[in-house]
Amino acid sequence: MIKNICKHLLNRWKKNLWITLELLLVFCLTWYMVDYFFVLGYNKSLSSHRDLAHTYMVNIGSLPQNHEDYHAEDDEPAARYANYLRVINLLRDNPDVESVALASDYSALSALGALNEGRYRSVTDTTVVAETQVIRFVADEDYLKVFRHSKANGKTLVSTRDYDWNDPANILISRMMEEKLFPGESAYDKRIEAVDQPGVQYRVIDVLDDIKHFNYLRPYGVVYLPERLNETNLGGKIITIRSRDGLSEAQFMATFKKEMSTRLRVGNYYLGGLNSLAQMAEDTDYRAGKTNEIRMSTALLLFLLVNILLCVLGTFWYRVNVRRGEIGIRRAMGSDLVGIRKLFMLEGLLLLTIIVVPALLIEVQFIFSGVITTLGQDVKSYGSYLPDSMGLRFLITNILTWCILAVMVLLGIWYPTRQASRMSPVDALRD
Amino acid sequence: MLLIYLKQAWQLLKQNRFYSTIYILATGLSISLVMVLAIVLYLKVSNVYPESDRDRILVVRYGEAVYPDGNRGVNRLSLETVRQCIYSLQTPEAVTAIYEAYGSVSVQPDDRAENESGTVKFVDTGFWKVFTFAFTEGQPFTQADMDAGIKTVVISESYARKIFGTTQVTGKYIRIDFVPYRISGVVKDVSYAVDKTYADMWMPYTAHPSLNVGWANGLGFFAAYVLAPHGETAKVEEEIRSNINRYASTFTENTFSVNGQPDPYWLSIFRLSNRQDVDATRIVSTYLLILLVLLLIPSVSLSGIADSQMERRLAEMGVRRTFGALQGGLMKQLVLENMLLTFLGGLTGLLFSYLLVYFFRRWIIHIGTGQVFVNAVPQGVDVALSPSMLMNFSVFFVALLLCLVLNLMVTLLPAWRASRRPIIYSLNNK
Repeated sequence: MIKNICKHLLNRWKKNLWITLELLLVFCLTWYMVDYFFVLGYNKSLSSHRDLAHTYMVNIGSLPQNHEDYHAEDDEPAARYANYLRVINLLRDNPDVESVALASDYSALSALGALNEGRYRSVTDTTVVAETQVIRFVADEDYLKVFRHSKANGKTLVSTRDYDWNDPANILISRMMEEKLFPGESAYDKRIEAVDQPGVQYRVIDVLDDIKHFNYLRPYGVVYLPERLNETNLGGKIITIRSRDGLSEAQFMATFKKEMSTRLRVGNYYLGGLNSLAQMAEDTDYRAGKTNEIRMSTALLLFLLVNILLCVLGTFWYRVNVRRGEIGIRRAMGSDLVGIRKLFMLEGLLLLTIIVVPALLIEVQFIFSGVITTLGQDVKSYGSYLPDSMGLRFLITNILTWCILAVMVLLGIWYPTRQASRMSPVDALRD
Repeated sequence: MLLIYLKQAWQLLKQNRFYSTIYILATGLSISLVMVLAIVLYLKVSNVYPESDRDRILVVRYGEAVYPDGNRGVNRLSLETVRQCIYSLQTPEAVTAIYEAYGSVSVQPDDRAENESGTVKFVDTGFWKVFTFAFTEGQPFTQADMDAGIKTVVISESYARKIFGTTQVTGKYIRIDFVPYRISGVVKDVSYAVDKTYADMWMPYTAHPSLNVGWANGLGFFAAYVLAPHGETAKVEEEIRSNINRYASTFTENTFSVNGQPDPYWLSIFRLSNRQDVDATRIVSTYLLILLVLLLIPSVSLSGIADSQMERRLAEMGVRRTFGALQGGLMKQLVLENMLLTFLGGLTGLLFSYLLVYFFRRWIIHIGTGQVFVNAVPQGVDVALSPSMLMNFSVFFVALLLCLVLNLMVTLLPAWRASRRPIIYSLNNK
């Protein structure tokens, strides 16, 4: 049968030129988009090991000096500290709030896009350096619980209260760092230091899971540096909370603002606002152009697929009409409807397969000209990561592209051949 | 003759419904995508309220300072730069400088405990002359307000309604970040799509709580917009250049430059970062490339289908040629016949593009300039699009032009092939 179809294609090669050219064009462009979505999907499929759902940033403002309720004595460091602690306690005592966290800067909340990076090494082997994200948090509150950090690949959720923070040298690191700095052994109780601050030694007290800075990027190693709150370091701290399970975002935010607006008027402090971190993360993706990039890519992919569908529909509709005589003979010789449809479908798939060879050659040109970029390839990640192996990725994305286009081709052939199948052999033969 | 061709085309269209549907769909799809891009660009560069004179506006937004040790600073302009180079201009109709500081504020309404968020633009009195705001009440703040740094604002109709429940608010006070501002006037809303002037409130930049006038190297946070009189853009541009050159020569510790600005308004939207130079040729060729891809993909497949369709009419072509029809005449007929289908596709595409723009307006307004950092439309803010923004002569003209180009791309080759077949072959073809 295949031989028969090949002969047919060869005999009518002039008629197949247009559709072949279109398939080739669309195959290359679709592959480009599929590659993008493959990496995006692969990244998204990896666990973030951190959860922003139901977390909120509480914006605590301070009255300006010209405000009628402003009290200068509340701006004294000791009073300010005491008031700040009262604010935290009020938040913790709210029955709708599950836990409270204090982050030292915005990079501890991936939602805002800020990233703090550092280079660390083991104190015993200073030749290997791990580049990593740095998260600074206040150990007095429960940063790890609010954001649902975990260890053992998500199996165990951790809490800041699980660890002893009395020794300021105690820190946490993530698995990727452990593998890089202490390959094959446990990092527990090992000492590490920052490359730009040799001499300041940290002691690893546990190894948590790697987290992704953004959901669409690859995971990245982390160093968690704790600090303790005192009168002098209140500035710049960011208060975040996690709401109790089962409360919807809108419900929680409305109740919280209503109840807490007056209660949080402590000293010169007031409730400036409450922002959902999940929403902020979405906004950050949008600001970084990522949301629009994904939407545009989806639109382009759809455009390509609909075009190929229409092209196949049109071409095969015509082909079925021209080959009425042949279809009539086949029917007369006992070929059933399924058989005729199969014939055309195989013809379509064969055409698609033939263009794969030139398409691959064009795609290789794409790769060598550097047009293909990997999402998050600038993340200084280490460890195995599928999209890094070019050969395998090339194979997978091309198979995916072939499959997607095959579906379109089959869909495009299905309708016109339905017409052919309905043709009476007598009518067809008379034509 | 044309009428006969069209009549015949209409009959053919009705006869070959399947072919016509596919043709119209493919054309429509391709044209709708291009039209979405065209409409978004139209919103960004054509004369739209309140930026009704964009075609005569010149923009200087960025400056660069380079030090002898190679260090460089890039930012907007300092107030002194604006004074020396822009406010001192003689030839323009009007000039304005916008203080491009973070303009997100919280407003404390008198009747509620909760704050409302809002956006503010920090402008000068020239702003109201360069841009044609429609005041429904009151007037802009005065030069005297501006000079004294008096806290006054102009507010948009919808925001006035949100805070006060009415638009008659001139003379009232509004508390912005706990500080009262007197409302001097109310203007018609500005669409979020017109982002250079969009805000809920506009106040003199001298009333900014912590105005930063910029640094001695000429850089700061101001962007200048200059409105040239009709037909005198070149003259104004020349004066701006000479002012900037003169001013730049006064620097001793660093060099100051504006990298080829002033830009005409349309070009300024592509100047995205402080360092980047904009190259009109490159921008236009990028757009042409996108256009080519969006038109090429459907045109190859449509060509194939049209080729098959014309093959079916070879016998007719043969008869026509036997009776003396010229090859050129037949080609013309085939191309014109197909034009009917292309126009129907174009119309479908245009209508579909309106739907796309309307339903996805919150993000679609951000495509097209290659902008990497875009601000999401704030919650509660609508991107209002008026009918005149979408349905206007320019948009229709682009759609028509696209139809003509696409039709030629699709039919020229098949029509040429069909009309040049030997008469015997054509006649024999059944």
